[in-house]
Amino acid sequence: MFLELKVKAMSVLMNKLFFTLVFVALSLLTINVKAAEQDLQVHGFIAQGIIDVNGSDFVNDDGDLSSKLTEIGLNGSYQINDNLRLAGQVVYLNGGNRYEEGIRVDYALLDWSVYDSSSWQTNLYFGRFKNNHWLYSSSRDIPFARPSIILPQSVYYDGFRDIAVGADGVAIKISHNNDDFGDFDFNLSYGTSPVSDKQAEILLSEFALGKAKQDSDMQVSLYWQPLFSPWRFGVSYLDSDFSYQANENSDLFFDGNFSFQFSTINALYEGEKWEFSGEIYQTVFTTEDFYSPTFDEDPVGQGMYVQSRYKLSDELTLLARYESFYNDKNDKNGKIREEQTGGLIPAHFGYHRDATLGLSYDFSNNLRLRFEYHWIQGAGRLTPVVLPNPQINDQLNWQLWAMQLMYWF
Amino acid sequence: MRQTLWADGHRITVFVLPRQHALHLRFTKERLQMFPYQLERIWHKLTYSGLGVAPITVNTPKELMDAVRSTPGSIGYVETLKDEESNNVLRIKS
Repeated sequence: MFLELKVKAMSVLMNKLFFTLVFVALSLLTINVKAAEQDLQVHGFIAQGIIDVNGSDFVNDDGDLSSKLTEIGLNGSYQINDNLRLAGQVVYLNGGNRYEEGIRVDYALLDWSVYDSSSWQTNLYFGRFKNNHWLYSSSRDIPFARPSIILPQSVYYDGFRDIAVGADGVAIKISHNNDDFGDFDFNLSYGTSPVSDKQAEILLSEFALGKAKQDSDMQVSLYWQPLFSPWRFGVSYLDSDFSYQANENSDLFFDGNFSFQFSTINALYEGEKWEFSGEIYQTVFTTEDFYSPTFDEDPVGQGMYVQSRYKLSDELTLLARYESFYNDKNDKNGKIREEQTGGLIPAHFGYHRDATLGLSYDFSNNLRLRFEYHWIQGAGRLTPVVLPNPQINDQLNWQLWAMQLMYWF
Repeated sequence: MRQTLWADGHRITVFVLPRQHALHLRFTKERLQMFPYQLERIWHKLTYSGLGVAPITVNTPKELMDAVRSTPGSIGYVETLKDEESNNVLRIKS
């Protein structure tokens, strides 16, 4: 039985080389200290970099070279029994203006392996789980697991990071391995994320003195990798509602409701030397009231990015990427909004384009150095989101470079 | 390959060699028809986003052998095997 299982699980009888697979028959009576040790696994990472932004407040307001590029994480996984597992991760992040600086619980969950066979696996996750729906959403905080230091901001917008990175609730993952059609992964999650005062300031404005909260977040995604194919394809959909309760004593804004729908399709190609990936997406961001008691707007934003990585050697990988995004498909260059606001929100806040070149070098299996340069046009992905800051962000074109050293275990 | 439990319901523990080890490279490419960096991406996602448990990396084939020998329900790979008595062995060749 074990032999059959193993053959199914790991072997494809096509090579001319010789391997030996070894395994030990399971015994319920075996008392083994090592096995108990392996029930608890601890991993972590530390990354520190420098980042220099010219022409925007992406990281800091003064434009100086900054060391606010710190990411530290520590996680543990404890196998309670064959079907239940506890897992959690704490991270410290400092990205300057990109998101709130500090320690946060990245995930803390109970993983229940509901069903597991050679062709079907079903897991339920309870607690705080990470967003597993977009190409890099679950690894956006893991410096060595994402493709670049700064991810494509139109999808992985740092201003939305704390809300988009995960949720408190329940998630299900169903995987199916089909001998004819390949591998399928289905994910469904429902929950909410707390919105801190600092997060509300980043999202809305420093003048929003009331309370913002997320009322619901439902996400679903499906991935398909054809049998023995280097390609993987995915689709995802997100529907999230927020509300804002104005400060009764003093507030520039009114009670309001926001809703955010986000749809993506993506593809990933993984060859021996070349890797290609891309996501195409559409957002609908509805605002009711907030600016005034009768305000109602639901612009449709669209965007895409394409990315290529080339493995020059075992150690050196090159990166090239282009992304383009606009907030409103009926106002792609932002001019209508500029006119509507009497110049208060300049046209270049309506879009975001970024051409990126980068490289990463592996000194060992768990020590990597990355460098990248971004040429960016537009201020559509700077913070705050709702009430932008055109005084600092008065440049149409701006650039940044970053270098980061990362270690993990 | 994504199966985590044996058919009798007990957990599978997987041991592997470091990603740049020649044997790991060969095993990954020739047995799994994948590249080590693909496995690494999947395992990083499991380990650092809470979704699951990745294989345990050991440094040498001998360490791998010892780990498999002393861990019930575990599995790994070696190129040659001198002492087969304490293990259940599946040879794969064409």
